[in-house]
Amino acid sequence: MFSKKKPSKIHIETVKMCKNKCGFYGNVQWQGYCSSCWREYNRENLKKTNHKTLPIPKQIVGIDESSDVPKSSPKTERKRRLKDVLKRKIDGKDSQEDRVNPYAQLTESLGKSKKDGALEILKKTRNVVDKIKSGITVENSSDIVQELYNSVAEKLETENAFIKLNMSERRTILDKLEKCVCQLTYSEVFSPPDDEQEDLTLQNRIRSLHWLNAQLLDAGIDETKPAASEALDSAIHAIVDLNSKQTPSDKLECIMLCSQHIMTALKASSDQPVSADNFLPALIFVVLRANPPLLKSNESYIMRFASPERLGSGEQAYYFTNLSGALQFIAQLDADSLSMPYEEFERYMRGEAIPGDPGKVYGCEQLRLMKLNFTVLEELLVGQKSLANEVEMLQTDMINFEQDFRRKLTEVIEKTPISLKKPIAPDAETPTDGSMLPSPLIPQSTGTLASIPVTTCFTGSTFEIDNSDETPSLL
Amino acid sequence: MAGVKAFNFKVVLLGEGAVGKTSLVIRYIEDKFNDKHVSTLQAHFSTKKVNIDNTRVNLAIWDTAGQERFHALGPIYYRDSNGAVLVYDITDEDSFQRVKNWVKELRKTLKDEVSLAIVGNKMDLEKSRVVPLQDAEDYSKSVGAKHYQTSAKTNKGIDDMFRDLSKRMVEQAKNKPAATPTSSRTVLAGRSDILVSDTIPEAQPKTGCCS
Repeated sequence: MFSKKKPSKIHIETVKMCKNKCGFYGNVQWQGYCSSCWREYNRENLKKTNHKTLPIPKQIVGIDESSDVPKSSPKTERKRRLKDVLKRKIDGKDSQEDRVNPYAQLTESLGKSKKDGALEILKKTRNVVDKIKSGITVENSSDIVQELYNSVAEKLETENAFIKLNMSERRTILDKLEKCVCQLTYSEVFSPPDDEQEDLTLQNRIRSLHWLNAQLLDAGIDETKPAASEALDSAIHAIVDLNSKQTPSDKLECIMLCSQHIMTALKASSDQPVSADNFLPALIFVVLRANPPLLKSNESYIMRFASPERLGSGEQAYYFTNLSGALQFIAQLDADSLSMPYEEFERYMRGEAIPGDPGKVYGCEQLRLMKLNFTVLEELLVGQKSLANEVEMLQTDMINFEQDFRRKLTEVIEKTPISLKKPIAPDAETPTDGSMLPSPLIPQSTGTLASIPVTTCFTGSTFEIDNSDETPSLL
Repeated sequence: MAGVKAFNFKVVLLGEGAVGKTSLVIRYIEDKFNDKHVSTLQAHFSTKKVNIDNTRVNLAIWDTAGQERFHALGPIYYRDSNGAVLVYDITDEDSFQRVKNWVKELRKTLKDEVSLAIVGNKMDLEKSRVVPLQDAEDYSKSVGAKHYQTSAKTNKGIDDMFRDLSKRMVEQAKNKPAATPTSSRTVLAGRSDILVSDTIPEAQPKTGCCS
């Protein structure tokens, strides 16, 4: 970096005193100032540098010069671009890879076609990219990019060099072409000042519509259902992500993803099939909730630089159209379109009132949960009360039953008295040695054993039991 | 689709809410009808392949929100469409009036390049009809549209209607090659300044029918 001249120059000029005449030695590195005066000077004139380490002046001067010079002269342009390249190299490998890869990918996709045809496409692409980078208006950029898409598509269809390619390969080439051009020119053509202004307008508009809820829009999303509210969050996430993607195809993918989440949310909210009647309001609701950054810029960017196939009649085009519709609706939204009185709408817009909460939309998840828990608790309380009542009733029932039973029992007992013959008390004089006992029973076989009735007879001191196992019960 | 003669058509469905647009599409795409609509099917964007006299036709059917409040968004939906299906409910006079409004708009913006199908749905409810058939047919004739009667519930007339419309769109496209869907590349949705480059029209006819 250092030329041979520099050190010698420094050597010669170090003897000079500080330009500020403060008494210290100046230095050519600090434009003839001493260190402290240079610092002062720096702070005043180049407010952007907060470096404690002192920058190399020639570089700073060089950058300032080139950015001040108008872009028209081709010499400075080349210089600037060259510097861009250098800067990117310094910035890190990623940005450099971004610059190299798109062409490489495009070349790769062109692999099967003949060399001269592929080279021509690459050359055309490079021309267009260079033209855009030379600072033409966005409209012109869009025109030449669309022209490029068309001419390449035509070449692929008609020229001999590409005759070996099949349908999907042609499509891949067109996709890569789009990707290549868009990645290389993104910083130049994305969100020009006019779009930025529109973005701000839209963002403020969405902010002023913060009071709109799903009910007022007829969005048909039931946020109290966890599945629906989860899908809604994913949809919001997807549409916010839109701004982080660089190519139209990636951006359109984001819109698709967002739409799919919205459909999930709608399906979770009701059994009806998802139709445009509820999809569009839901999308509007999501856009209002998300307030995605640079939405208008993204919309214009896709319209300007997406390849024509994407915005034809396909699914991506459909969802993109819906998003455009949603944005238009938001921009034009008034009291009529919400079918509410003008005064009411104005009051909401001025922030003097907030639409009546139908008990479904809450500021945040916690409030919603709290409300939900309150309802559950209330239900539990009611349940407990009724349970206590039932317990009480059951108790009285039991008491009643017992009393009733007792009463009935006594009635029955009274009705059917049982008189038992007293058994004859054994003689007091009978000896205890057992000599008076009757002789042991001798088993006798009787044919009519089974027919003996189950009764117990008390006959004297002896008793006979029939052969049945059951012991007779006496009450 | 290179080399194969195939048409890509965009068909936009217009009509008031609850006239049965959704049921109509579901019936056509899946041959299903459910009074309770217990279906996981999405009806707002659907595609269908049709064969018309050995010509392959790919229909992309765009459903639109029918609520009055979204009426102003119509143009961004029907822009570049090859056909429009305008649905009304034969038991609802207002829905027929809405159809008339759509027709006026469509003729104004798309001129004769769009094939119109005016569809009286819910013909199974013939008893409570309020839009006289003769009136509807006369009106359709007067605006260069074709009138059809369908019932999504009993699956009557839907397939024929789409088939007939496809036929008419094919004829339209053959007469005017520039009106094929891929010509839409120059007129992009929402763009205020329409891209008219001298070189583009040349590319259209070639890519038109075989995009």
